[in-house]
Amino acid sequence: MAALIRIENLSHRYVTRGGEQVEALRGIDLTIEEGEFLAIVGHNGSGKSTLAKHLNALLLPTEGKVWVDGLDTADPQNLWQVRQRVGMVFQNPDNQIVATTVEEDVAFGPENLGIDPAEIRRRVDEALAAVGMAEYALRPPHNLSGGQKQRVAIAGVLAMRPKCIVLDEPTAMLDPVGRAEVLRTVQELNRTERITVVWITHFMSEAAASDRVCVMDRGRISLQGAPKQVFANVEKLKQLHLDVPQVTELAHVLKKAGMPVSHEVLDKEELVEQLVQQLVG
Amino acid sequence: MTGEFAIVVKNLSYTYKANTPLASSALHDINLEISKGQFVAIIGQTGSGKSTFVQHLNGLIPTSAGHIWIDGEDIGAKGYNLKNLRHKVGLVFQYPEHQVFEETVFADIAFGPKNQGYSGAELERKVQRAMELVKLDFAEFKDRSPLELSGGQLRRVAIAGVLAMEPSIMILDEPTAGLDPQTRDEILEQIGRLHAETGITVLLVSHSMEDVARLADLVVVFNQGRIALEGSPRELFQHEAELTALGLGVPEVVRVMLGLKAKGVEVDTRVLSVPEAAEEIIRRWRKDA
Repeated sequence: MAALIRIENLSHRYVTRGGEQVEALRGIDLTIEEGEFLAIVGHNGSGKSTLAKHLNALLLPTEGKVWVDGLDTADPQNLWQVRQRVGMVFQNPDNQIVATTVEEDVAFGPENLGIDPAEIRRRVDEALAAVGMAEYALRPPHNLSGGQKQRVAIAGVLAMRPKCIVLDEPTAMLDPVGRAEVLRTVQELNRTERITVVWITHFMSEAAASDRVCVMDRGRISLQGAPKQVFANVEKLKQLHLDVPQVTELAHVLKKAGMPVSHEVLDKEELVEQLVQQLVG
Repeated sequence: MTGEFAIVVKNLSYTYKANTPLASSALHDINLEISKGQFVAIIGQTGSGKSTFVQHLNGLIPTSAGHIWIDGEDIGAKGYNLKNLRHKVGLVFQYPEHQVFEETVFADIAFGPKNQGYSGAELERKVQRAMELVKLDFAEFKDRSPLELSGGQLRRVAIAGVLAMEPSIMILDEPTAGLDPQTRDEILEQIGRLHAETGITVLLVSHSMEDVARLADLVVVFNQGRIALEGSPRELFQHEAELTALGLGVPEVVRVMLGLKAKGVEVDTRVLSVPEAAEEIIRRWRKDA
């Protein structure tokens, strides 16, 4: 795999309205591979959203560098190319919808790029099909469910033909059905279109679906690795006020009590299998 | 109806846009009894009728078919004082921070009791007490602008605003939606403590089985406008297949225990938390050894 985004020694500082200096990011080094599904978790104020906004030049480094597809995000000449390559989806679906029909909303981005109308038509249809919303093309967006609105927002990003989608807590305001729907849609895009995904979440069950999890704390990456490896650090995660999947936590407690089970386990079936071996003569 | 129940609901039905071509049934023959001081969780998918149901309880939606008694009084009866009902049944909406509108935390929390006719030292006492209940320091926060507060603090201000009216029943519609795990735990812990300290009847509308497991005495599951299941969390979670079919599921630890049982391991599956599950599995393991 080739690197799509390279972050080197990234720091970001800003001053609050009250005049207080905040160090939101402190020397982040991170490479995001093409086609990767990366999850970023961390409590509020850990720097995850600040990091995300550096990936498409919504924010620029105070120190260090961010390269997207070889483009330095701090160079103003690269701005549109960077934004075309990395699209963002935010938490509140209602704040992201601008048009009166679903298809017009999806067309908004490519129209701003000045793309030929026939090409826009093709892109909008493809993007809506990819998120399973084609039949809603002519509907007014405000009548959709939260999960459907987020899928329209994702289609709007897809119509720009990005290489990477950054989703900043896209499911925080959704019900469980909407959450599952949005995650499934993005997993599908990652698998079939090889779109790189950066998924910021508080829900560990969603992070479990990723290739790699980065845990952020006070502007730094404090843990990273495959979900199983990261979640196995039960005590550390609790200390950072993050949820640990119940299956992993249960395995951890049992192991501490002396049972010979692996605590690198995420899946209920896997844990049941291990326990059955111990408990059935 | 006797006074031992905080809420009694009999044959409650409701149709949206009744007598129009867009009529759709939202509630179907709901029957429910909630004791004073009970902690009840109302769960169900979006569109299951749970929000429509709780909005009936403080008269936001008038009872059109069936009856609701609050503290023994039929709220649909002629001459029933709806203003008193709103004081008795406090409703904290989803994303309540969107309803915080005053210039200071004090003014926002005082809004309700002021409308009840309180002023001066009495009003201040009520606001102070409400802030204590949600663990917002009175001196530190009373003059602050709501705009300067964090998401979790704002939500506590909104909850305090309802508590300041000293309701005997408090309904919270998904009070932890959109919060990070730490803030979610703080808010839930506070609601639990509030319930324990004041003996107030609490109805918590939630999607999260894990939250429900920790707090509720009674769980009522709504599906397509009807009550589909009802019981203590321990009993209810045994119905894994039904809850999964309703798109709700059960906590992972319960699924592990039910999985063990299905494979022939004799364990008590009626657990609610990781420590309880661990204790039961270890007990079983030591017995084998």
